[in-house]
Amino acid sequence: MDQDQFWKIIAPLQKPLFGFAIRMLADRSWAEDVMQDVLEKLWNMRDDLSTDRNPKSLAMTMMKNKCIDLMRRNGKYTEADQLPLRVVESNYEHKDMLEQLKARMQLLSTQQKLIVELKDFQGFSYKEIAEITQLTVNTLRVNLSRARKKLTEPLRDDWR
Amino acid sequence: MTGDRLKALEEGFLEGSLSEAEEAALRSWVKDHPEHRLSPYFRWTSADEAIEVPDFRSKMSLEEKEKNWLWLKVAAAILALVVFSFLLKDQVWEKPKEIQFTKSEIDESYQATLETLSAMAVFLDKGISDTQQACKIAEPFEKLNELKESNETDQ
Repeated sequence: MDQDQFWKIIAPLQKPLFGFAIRMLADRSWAEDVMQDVLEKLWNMRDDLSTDRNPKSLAMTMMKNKCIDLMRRNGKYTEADQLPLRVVESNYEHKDMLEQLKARMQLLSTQQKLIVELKDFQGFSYKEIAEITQLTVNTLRVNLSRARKKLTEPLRDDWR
Repeated sequence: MTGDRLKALEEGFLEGSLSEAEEAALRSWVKDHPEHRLSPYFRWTSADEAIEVPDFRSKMSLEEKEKNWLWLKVAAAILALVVFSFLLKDQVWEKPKEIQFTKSEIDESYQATLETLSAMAVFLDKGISDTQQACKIAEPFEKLNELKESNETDQ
């Protein structure tokens, strides 16, 4: 596989992969470094890309591992979320909601953040997420439910 | 969509129990009703297009990098080979010389050794007697003998 063929497969994946890295790491320069590492790794195993596996799933697994390694090395990996279950916040303007959601996302545990990222941002199925994260579907559902409730808490206060 | 159906979908979404079709239906309905409370969440999670992606293709020439890496590997292999052969050169190509002596050389050597040992014995003997003289080790014994002899003559 030459470089043109490689980039043809990778081009549609760049945005989701880079978005994933930015949201997980919350740091653009780290995200760029990790992205370059993942692209190099994918290039080194480019012959597998055109044959067996779903390239997006393969690339996302690599990206997830790289991000988690980096977070662990820098003490950014969190086992428990830092959001209380019940928060009453009101008077959010519609556009402020997005900023609020972004801020709340950074307070989730790394595992919850990862699951929200893969399900809601990347659109993977539970089965695919289970393969990427090595978690059971039941654990995924429980964590996704907790994360969605915590993220949308201010929205639900707003709509009550 | 009826109120009950919408409520069920909202709850199902929060519980993570919706099927893909149900979730797609909810997202689609909310997209058409931007005033809905889940609208910010769905807009946020589909906002990948807002992220500016650097041009990684021009940033990193993967083929060139791979070629450089290959050359680096070849250079390292050559270097390792040269160092290895240099270190093993003596052992591989130069056999250690065998040392052989003739009988007369052995006899000469034996004689020289004996002479050396004899000379050392003489030196040692002389050294010990010199030391004894210097320390006057025998003096008290000589005085004792003299005393004993004088006692005997007195008696």
